[in-house]
Amino acid sequence: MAEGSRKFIKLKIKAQDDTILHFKVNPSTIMKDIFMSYSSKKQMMNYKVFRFFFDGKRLSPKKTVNELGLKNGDEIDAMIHQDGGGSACNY
Amino acid sequence: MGALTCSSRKRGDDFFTSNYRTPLSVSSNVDHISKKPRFSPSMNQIQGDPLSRKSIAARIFKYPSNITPIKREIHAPCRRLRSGSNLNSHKMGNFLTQQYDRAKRSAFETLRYVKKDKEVINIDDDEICEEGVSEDSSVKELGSGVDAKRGLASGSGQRWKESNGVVETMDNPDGVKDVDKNFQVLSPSVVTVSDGVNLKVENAEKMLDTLSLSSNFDSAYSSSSVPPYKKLLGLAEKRNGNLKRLQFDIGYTEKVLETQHLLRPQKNEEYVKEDVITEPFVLLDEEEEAEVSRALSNSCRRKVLAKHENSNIDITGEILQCLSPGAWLNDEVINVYLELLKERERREPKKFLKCHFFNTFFYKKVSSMPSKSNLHFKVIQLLARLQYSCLISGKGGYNYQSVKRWTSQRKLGYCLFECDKIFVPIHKQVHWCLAVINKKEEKFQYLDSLGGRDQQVLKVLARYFIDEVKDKNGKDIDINSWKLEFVEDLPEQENGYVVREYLFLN
Repeated sequence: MAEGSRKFIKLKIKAQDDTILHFKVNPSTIMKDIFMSYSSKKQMMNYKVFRFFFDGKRLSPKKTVNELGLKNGDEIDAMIHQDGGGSACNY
Repeated sequence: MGALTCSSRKRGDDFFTSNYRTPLSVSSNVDHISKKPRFSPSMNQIQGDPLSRKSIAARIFKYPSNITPIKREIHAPCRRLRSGSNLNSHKMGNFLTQQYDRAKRSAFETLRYVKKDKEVINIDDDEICEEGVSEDSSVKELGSGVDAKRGLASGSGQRWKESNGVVETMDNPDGVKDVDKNFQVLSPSVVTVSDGVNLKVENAEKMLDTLSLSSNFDSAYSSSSVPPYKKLLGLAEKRNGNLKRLQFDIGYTEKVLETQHLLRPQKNEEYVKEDVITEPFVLLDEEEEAEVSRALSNSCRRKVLAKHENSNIDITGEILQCLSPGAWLNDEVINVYLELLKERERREPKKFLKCHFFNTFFYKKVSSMPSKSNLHFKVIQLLARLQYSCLISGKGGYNYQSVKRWTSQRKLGYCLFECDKIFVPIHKQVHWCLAVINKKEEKFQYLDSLGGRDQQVLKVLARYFIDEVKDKNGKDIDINSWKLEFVEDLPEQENGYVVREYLFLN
């Protein structure tokens, strides 16, 4: 069991409001699964409203944790999508 | 053999002549192997004599249905004797050649028929029989070339093949015509029996007769045989015309194919040439326009149209739709475009200034509160906006630590300090702006299509730049002399954020 637990990687996903959710994932987990569970925790139906970054680099949902080179304790930034126009804004 | 064909009044004579002739001919043919088989059918004919005694009307009535099948059956064995390859040719199933054979045979039969009407000739024929045998080759030459070949070919299969092959189909009509001529010559020559030519012709006809293996029913259409022969001849000629037409068609199509083959590579070359010409803006042709409209249609909303590997962004139709006029820009579009700009710069580093492009979330990150409060981020931003001084002091909306790792040299492949310009796209809730750290001209620029002036952004950026240089290069940089510039001369009220970016690069 000790070996099995060592295989898991602990990831943090930080929202824009600095709230952090902790995930314990298998290295072979596809990022999409992590994103989806995060979205469901945030009561979002679609994980695509979030953009996930690690050190400023966008994370592909199709790759696994291992492929992206994520290590134990890495912090992922979850940013909500941005929209903006020039013509209809009041700011 | 002529006995069957004679009319009723001459029947007795005919019978006599046939009887008389057969032994003679057999004796004359003893040394000639090829002629042996010919006479067995002739004997059969004599036996089948009673059949021919039916009334003419009945014979005519019977003609079409009866004759053809029986003829074939009887012919088969004799031909086999003459040439071994006969069977093969039939198996090959050359339908046309078979038809020609039949037509020819019927023509020959009619000929022989006419000859039989002239009994005198028959007698002469018998008398000259020996000569005929010796002159076989010459006689055959008089006849149609193909038939002569057939006669000679008794042993050799190759010749037979030739005669049965395509060459024969071409020659056949001529042969038939030749025979036709002979026939015309013959008809007046009833009286002039002694004419050598006629005799030879007779011999040839005799040969043909034996070759075609006259059937028992040959005599059945003694007087009425000419029309069917003509019919068949006409049919054959028609088919010949068809064949010629088909051959012409084939040749024509082949030529067309060749020309097409010739044309194709030329077209390809043209295409290549067109591809080589690279203009910055080329009008789309209809196909491409259709493709674009399809990509922007609702049916492709979920479909991934393009995948950008560097930024791990999939461009779907839905995202592309935000590029349509009046629509709001999506962060993904902007980020992909910035990545593309960066790639362009990497491709041609000498042509463009060295730039760095942060993604649209950088400013959000760097201006976020470092505190781990549970307040909603919007509330924090609201507070931050109200307290400018707090932001600059680092208490509020400035958090270098969160973006510290974004610009490591290992990640970027270059140092941020080397860059002439650093572009920071700024998202303001519903509006896109751009801030530029212009190291070359030592100023911070702020571009807002609405003419907004946000000091805070530039201050945050200035602070970030100081921290960044200190952290990565270990140097202190003095930015007090740097100007804060709010660029005014911008095309206002446009979604053309991206366009402006493009202009700035150049």
